[in-house]
Amino acid sequence: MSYGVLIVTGGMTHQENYARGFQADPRCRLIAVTDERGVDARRAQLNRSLAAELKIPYIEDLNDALARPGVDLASICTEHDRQGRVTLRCAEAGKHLYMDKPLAGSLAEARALETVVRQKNLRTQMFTQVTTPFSKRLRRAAAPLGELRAFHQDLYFAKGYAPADGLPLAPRQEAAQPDLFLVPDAKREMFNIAVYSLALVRWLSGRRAFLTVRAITGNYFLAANARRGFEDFGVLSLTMEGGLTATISAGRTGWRSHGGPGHNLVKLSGTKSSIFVDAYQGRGEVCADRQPQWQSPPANPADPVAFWASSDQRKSGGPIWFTPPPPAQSDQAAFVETLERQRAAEVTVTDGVRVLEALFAAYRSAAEHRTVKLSEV
Amino acid sequence: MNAYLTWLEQSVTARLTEVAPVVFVRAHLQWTADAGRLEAISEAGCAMAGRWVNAKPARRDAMRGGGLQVLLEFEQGQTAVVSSELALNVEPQTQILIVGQHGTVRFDDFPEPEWLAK
Repeated sequence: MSYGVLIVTGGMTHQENYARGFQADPRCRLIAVTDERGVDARRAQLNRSLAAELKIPYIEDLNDALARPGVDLASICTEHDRQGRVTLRCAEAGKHLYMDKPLAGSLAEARALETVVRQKNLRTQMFTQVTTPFSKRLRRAAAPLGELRAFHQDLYFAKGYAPADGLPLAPRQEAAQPDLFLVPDAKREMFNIAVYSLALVRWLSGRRAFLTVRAITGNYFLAANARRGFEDFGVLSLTMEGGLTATISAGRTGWRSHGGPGHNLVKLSGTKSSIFVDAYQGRGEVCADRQPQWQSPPANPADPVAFWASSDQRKSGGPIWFTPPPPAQSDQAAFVETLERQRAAEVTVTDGVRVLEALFAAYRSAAEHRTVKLSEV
Repeated sequence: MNAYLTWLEQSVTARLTEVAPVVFVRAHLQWTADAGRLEAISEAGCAMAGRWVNAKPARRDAMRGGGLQVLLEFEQGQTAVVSSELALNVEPQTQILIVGQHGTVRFDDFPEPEWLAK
């Protein structure tokens, strides 16, 4: 069977990757790019651009696009303040859903979506990192540790320019219920990055429920985030069902904060043992004379081959890493697989709603400086 | 433990000027299989984190699970997570990640048990 895929919202979102993932899958055919009627001029232009790149039409009205024959699923990657209602509209039209993370900017919309998905018996998948080789390795590594007792992850994106003299340090006043998460020059980074860790611990632990969250947010690096009132860093401490605890730090920490894409460090503790895993432990490294970013020490005629410590000859700078993309199945292909095999995805809309609840509990915790029960959100 | 702790703190502190000011500290201190020693290790780790961020803690939340986890918020908004963990069927180990406004410092180590005993 060939699946007709509607691309909902275009360029300058993760849709750039999702749409190409579906386009590369021989089981799929892209129908069109679409969006809500009346999106702003910038968004409309970005949507048209992606449609042109993909060589498919742009349909200006989501409702018209959903009414087209042959649309089986929607790949949705809309700004979060719109994504809930857009996804809900696609679900009401009976389309299977591949959704950007987090699911929505509103818990009410996300919960309504969960209900419609159940009523219409739709297949759903939220984009996360659980289908990556790293996550699969974690699951294999966790098996011999006994019952999982603690999960810790530091997950950063080494991108963004920090001001040369740094942002002034001060406790951040968080919003208890944020409603805007993404603008062209800034994202709420706890929302956008910790979502991966929350989905990962839920997946690794066999979908154990989050019980309490304590969170702190910060503005440490990015001037635009500070201006917009968006955090660039967040730390979460959670209790989960069955005595499991989790701690997570997540943020966008600046271009030169890591030799690769950003720190991604996980520690798992079980009843029998524990393991520490660096996602970039598997990597390439080039060390060569012609690399300008590191230097040999000046020649010392008294000790020309650096035999002795007293001549103190040291290199400066460092080698370059390379981390080629793995030859693994894409997250989009994994979703198509769930349609083919009629089985639930690794991260469904229900998982996405539970993760979103934890994120909103985290914002309330950061705003009110206290531990928040999930039952409060 | 004191001898190792002093060496660890001095070794890491020597590199902090490259990334300072420090805004976040993650410390996994997995030094003992004796649950009775976790509190003392945690206290020492929290004090060390405070010296790295160069601030006093404003709030502290602790929880147990696979060890003792302490979340710290400091007076100027810096944060730390210090985990004192049981070394069950693994050799003693340390993982430190320090995030500064100008970069990160990572330090992994496998301390000699004899050194930790001092």
